Amino acid sequence: MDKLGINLGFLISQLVNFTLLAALLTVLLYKPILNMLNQRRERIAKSMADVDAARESAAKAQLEYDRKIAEAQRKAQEIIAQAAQAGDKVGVEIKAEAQREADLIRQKARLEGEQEKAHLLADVQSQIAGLSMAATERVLGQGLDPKMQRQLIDGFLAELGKTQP
Amino acid sequence: MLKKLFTVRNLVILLLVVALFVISGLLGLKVPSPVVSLAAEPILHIGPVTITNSLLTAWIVMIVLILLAFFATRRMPKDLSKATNQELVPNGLQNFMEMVVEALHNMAEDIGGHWTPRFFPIVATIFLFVLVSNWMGLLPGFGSIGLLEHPHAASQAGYVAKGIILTGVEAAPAEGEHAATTEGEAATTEHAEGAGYIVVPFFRPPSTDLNFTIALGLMVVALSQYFGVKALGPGYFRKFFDISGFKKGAFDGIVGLFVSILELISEIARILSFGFRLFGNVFAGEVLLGVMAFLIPYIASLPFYGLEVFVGFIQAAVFMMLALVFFAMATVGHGSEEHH
Repeated sequence: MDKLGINLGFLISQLVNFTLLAALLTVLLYKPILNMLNQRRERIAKSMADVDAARESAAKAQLEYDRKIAEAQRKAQEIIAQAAQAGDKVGVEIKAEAQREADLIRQKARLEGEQEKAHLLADVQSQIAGLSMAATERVLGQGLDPKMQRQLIDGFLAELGKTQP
Repeated sequence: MLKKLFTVRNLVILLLVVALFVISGLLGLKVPSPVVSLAAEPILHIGPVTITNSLLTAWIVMIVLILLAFFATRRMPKDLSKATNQELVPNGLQNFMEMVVEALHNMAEDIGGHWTPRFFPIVATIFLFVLVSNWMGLLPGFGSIGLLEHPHAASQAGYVAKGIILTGVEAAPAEGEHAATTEGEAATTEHAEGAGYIVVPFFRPPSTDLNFTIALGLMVVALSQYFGVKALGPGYFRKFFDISGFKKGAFDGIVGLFVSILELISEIARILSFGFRLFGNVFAGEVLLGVMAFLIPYIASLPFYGLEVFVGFIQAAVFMMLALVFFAMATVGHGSEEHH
C-alpha cells in the first residue's frame, strides 16, 4: 500500500475534494445551465406555438379576404349586369319611342304630301280645264257650252290620271 | 480551410520550430529520464499535514472548474422567468459550457431515466474532474517543474543540476560523498539516497494518484449501493446473499448462494477496477511521454501528446459511463437473468 502511495488521509481528502466540487458545480454550473436550457426550451416552444397560431390566423384572414374579394367581385359583376340590362332596356325603349315618333312623323308627312298632291292636282286640273277652255274658245271662236266643255275636260283628265302611274 | 493553413507565415513558424529542435539536438541538450513514482510525492509540510503534488493539483483543477463555472454562468439573468428573450441568448464560454452540460445531461438521461436528477451532478462532476485533471497533466510545467531532491533510493540514477535546471547528464554514483545540499533538503538521510538530483514536480495530475482514483471508485460503488437501497429498499441486498434457491432444492440453493457471493466480490472488485483503470491509463501516458522525451528529445513525443489528449478524454468518458451504468443497474430489480 505504501509503495502504491495509497494513504487513508489523502484518500479521504480526495473524497472531500470531490464532494466539495460536486456540490459547488451543482450550484454554480449544472443548476443554472439546466434551468437556462429549460427556460429557453419553454420559450422556444412558446414562440413556435405563437408562430403556428399566427400562421393559422393569417391563413384564416387570407381565406376571409379571398372570400370577401370574391363576394365583392360577384356583386360588382351583378351590378354591372344589372346596369347593362337597364341600359339595354332604356335603349330599346328609346329606340321604340324614336321609331314610333318617326313613324308618326312619316305618316303625317305622307298624309300632308298626299293632301298637297291632291290639292295641287285639283288646282292643276282646274287650271288645265280653264286653259283648255280658253284654247277651245280661241280655236272655235265661240264658246262651247261651258257645262259640256267642263264635262269633256274632266273626262279627259280622268282618263289621263288613269294612264298615269 | 486547408488553404488557410498553408500560408507563408505558418511555413516560417514550422521551419523555425523544426530548426529549434535540430539545433537543440545538435547542442546535446538531453532530457533526464523521468522518475517513475507510483505514489504522489509530498511537496509541502504544514505542521502535521502533508500535502502531495497530486492533492495540490486536484485543488487547482477544482479552482479551474469553479472559475469556468463562474464565468460561464456570470451573464445569466438572475430571474429567468422575468428575463427578456434577448437575455437568454448565450454567447462564448456560456454557449460552450451549455453544450457540454447538455451533452452530459442527455447521456445521463438516456441511461438514468427518471433517476437523472440524482445521478447527473455526480457523473458530470466525475467527467469534468477527471477530464480536466487528465488534460492538465499534458500542460507544460506539469511533471517538469518542481523541487530538486536527491533520489529516494540508492539504486535510482540522479542527474547533475546546473543552478535550478536539471541537466541530462547522469551524476556519478558517489557513495559516502556528501553531495552539495544547495536545496537544503535531505542533509541528514544522505546515506540512504543516491547521488545527484531528481525533480519532484509541484504538479501531478490527480488521476495519476491512486488515492484519487480509488476514492472515486469507492464513492461510485458506495453510491450505487445507496441508490440501490433507495430504489429497492432493503431487498436490494438480497442479491449479495441469495438463499431463495433453497426452495427449489439444495443444489439450486448452493448455486444461488455461490452466485450471490460472486456478486459481492465483483462489487468490491469494481472499486479496484475503477481505480486502476483510470490510474493505469493516465499514469502510463505520463510515463510514456517522459520516456519518449528521454529517448528522442523534443520532437518524438509530439504524436503521443495527441494520443494522450484522446486517452484522457476517453478515460473520463469511460469512468462516467461506467458509474452511470452501475448506478442505473443498482436501481433496477435484480432478476435472475441479469449477468455481468
